[in-house]
Amino acid sequence: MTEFTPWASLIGGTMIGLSAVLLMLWEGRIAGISGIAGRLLPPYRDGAFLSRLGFIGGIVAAPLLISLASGTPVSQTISSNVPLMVVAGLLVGFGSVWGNGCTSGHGVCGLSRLSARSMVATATFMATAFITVFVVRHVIGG
Amino acid sequence: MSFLVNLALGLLFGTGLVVSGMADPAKVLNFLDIFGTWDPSLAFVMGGAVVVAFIGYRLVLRRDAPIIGKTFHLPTRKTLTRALSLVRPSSASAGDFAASALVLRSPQSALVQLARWLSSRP
Repeated sequence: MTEFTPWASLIGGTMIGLSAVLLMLWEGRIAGISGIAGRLLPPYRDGAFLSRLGFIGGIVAAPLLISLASGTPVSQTISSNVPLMVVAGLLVGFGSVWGNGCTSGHGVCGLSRLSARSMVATATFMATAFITVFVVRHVIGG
Repeated sequence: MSFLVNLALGLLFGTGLVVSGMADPAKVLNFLDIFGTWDPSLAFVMGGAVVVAFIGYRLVLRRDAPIIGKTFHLPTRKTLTRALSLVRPSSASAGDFAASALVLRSPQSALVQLARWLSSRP
């Protein structure tokens, strides 16, 4: 069980949206996390490596700084099965590159731009994820 | 300079993830578990982010260019591509859509056929 947090989630969501808007205002780029993270690897074509490193560094640093400031660690529930986590991570990376984007790039930025591609992508990965979780938790795990 | 601005924007994004609860994969998984321990929070995150970005992008894109750089780097591809859809690129008809929906080769394929069929209608 996790607690339903409508207000905190809405406030957090507006911060994510604001970050995406400001990134577009600053250097005209889509805040797609999988795309930004993926382009930290070669080939380097556009000289935006340091920008990308800063953005990803900020995302990684945020929970660490919040933990330090508040004195309580940010709650994270993950599997302790390391090989499983490695495989899961590889699948997330592969899938988001193949689908040209993830929850942030397609889901937040693409939907906001009313992109048909992003609507299809978001509907597809959400539907697939709902089915996967249903099968894993209630068919196999049930 | 751009590194520092991006660092600040990344911190804002990451703080949003923590505040919204999305830094915890359990909350994301529970959003996907409608028939189990459903937690609708993720819909509120997406809703908040999309509303802000929908309005904000419209304001920002009135400008000729971003603050640094000459142009906005917006995705230019408009068509549904094979990489996105995993289905054979072909022109679709209502019949194709009905067939794929009936056979349901995959939920994706039915969705993409529906999108193609809708966009191909006059």
